[in-house]
Amino acid sequence: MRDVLRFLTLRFLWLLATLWVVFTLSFVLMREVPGGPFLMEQQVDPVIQKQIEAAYDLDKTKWEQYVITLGKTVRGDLGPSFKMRDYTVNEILAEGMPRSVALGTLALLIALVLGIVAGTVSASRRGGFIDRGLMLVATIGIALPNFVIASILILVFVIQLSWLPAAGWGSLRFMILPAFCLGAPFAAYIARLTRTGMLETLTQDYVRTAHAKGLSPWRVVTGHAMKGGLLPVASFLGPAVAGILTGSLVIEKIFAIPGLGTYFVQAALNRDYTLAMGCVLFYTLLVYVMNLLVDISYTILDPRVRLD
Amino acid sequence: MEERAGFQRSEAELERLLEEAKKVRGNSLWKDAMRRFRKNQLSFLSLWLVVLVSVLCFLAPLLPLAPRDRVSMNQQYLEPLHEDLLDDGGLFLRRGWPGVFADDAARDEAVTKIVERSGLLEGWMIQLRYKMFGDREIVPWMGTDQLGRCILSRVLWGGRISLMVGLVATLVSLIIGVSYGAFSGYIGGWVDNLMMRAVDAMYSIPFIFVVIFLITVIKNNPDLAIDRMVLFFAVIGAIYWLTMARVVRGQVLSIKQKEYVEAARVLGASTGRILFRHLVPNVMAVVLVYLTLTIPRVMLFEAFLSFLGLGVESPDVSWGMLAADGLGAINPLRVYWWFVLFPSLALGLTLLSLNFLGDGLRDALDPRLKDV
Repeated sequence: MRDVLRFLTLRFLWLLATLWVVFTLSFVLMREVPGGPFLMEQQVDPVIQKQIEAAYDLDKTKWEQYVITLGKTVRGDLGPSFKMRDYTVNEILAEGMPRSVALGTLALLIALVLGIVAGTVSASRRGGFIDRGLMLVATIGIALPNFVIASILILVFVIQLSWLPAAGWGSLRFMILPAFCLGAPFAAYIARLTRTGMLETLTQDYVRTAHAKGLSPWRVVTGHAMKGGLLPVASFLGPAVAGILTGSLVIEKIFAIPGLGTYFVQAALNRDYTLAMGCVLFYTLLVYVMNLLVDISYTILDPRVRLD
Repeated sequence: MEERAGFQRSEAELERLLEEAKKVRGNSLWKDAMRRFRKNQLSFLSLWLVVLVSVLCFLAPLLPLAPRDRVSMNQQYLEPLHEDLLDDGGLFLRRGWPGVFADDAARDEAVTKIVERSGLLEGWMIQLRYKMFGDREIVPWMGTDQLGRCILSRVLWGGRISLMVGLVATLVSLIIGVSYGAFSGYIGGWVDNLMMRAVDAMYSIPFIFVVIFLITVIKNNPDLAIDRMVLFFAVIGAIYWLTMARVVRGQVLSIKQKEYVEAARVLGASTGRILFRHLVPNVMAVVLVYLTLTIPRVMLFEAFLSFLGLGVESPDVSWGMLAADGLGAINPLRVYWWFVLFPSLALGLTLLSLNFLGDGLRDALDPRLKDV
């Protein structure tokens, strides 16, 4: 128990350090790069200029500004948006996040189910036609960018067959295509990892024993081999979550989903500095927490691995 | 005595033996790998495809293609081999700019303008192209896009940028990663510990988001005299060196105990010499494998940024940007399949080949790494 507590404290400190580095990096970029948000191109009325400067504490020194902004950020106040009137960054994040999380969760589920099934089938038919076919598909899935997969699927399922809506957000029907496109590359990775892991465990003695005592192949695979075979998949979940968050920038744009990714890209294109910075900090937090959860779950799955 | 006689006889014998020995060839690591690699047909085919695509894209300025950014509004969305495209010059070549220029002088001026805008080598190649082909150009048999631009030309020109970003950024990451990893692994001790801790810390920063933020700041910034492409190479290279550093360090740790390194140290070789003369060449196999697997990842990242509109900008094109254009033109009324298909095919096939190539190289150079 003491170990776990120590581990968590350490990781929490690392998280704070990481967030601080990202914050400082963003802050310096925002304030120091010429042509930044506070250097207006047009002549502004001197009084208004003063007001802007007062509102953003620009009349203080750089260090004071840094400390004030850091203080606000620590308290969870990311400030007003630069481009969207009457919105604070917090409000925008709160609006976009549930959609992105729903989409990402579904994508991860699809990736896990497809990947584990394909990998297991592939491993149990090692060297055969099915194995080679599935692994070829997996390589294609890894190599192709998700927007290429998306454009093919849109052409087939939306334009030709008109089974699914092209874009938008609402019911589950809207989520199927984007979630699949988002999850596909990770399904491919997971299939490969599952295959490797299963191949290793399927040759173990305890699996032979299970066969020998007369269990059906299905029971052997699901009941005995899978436990060990899926360990590599568990450690891939951390990078997968980060990748799905990244991929959702593109997928949300293609399918016009008003999620976090769309706001972030919009912010980057419109030079909405505060929103972009808020998004970066938020993504950092999200990725970090997910990695932490994966590390903890890994020790539960495999008692040989210790936290440190 | 007899032995001595034998010894004397061997003068001529030795020559003969040497001759014989010359015929026998040892198998070096690379030759062995080459043999294994040739056996892998898929990878071998991929190698040729990558070479073919690279050469075609590199030669794009020399080929009689329509200028990549020439807009012609009366040729919007023409299907591949549409009859409007075939009328005057036949199937392969046609007069490119009919009626656009009053005389040769006007055309030469336009060419000069294009050349001025391009880099040194590129400009020279374009000039050569106009000397060879005049205003003749290949029929856009991949069709035209929403502004009547030739898709064939855009795909080849786009490939130049995509491949170049992939190659140069990977080289940047290679140089940083190999130096960092080799140094860290060789020095060892607390320096190694500290350097690897730093890499761990950087791993936990989601750099892709930071990069997008960086681009936000720098985008359309007239005060910053940084070339967009240079920034691209530097930033992407700066992200992808982390894994390379780890891989190289692991390798160096295992070979720095070898006798030849010890021997070099005893002979008084400097740290730098040992690093780059003795250690780095011996980790090259692993580095090469990792290199071929990094190029498609970098290209994917470039395509990703260009797709979002944060990458290259007009008049430059890249495959990611073309894919975005094609996707934007999808609508239920009419399907411009060529507009989606060809750029996606170019990007997809190249990435796929590079992946197969990397896998094949890995299996050939280090069979132990198989299935990792």
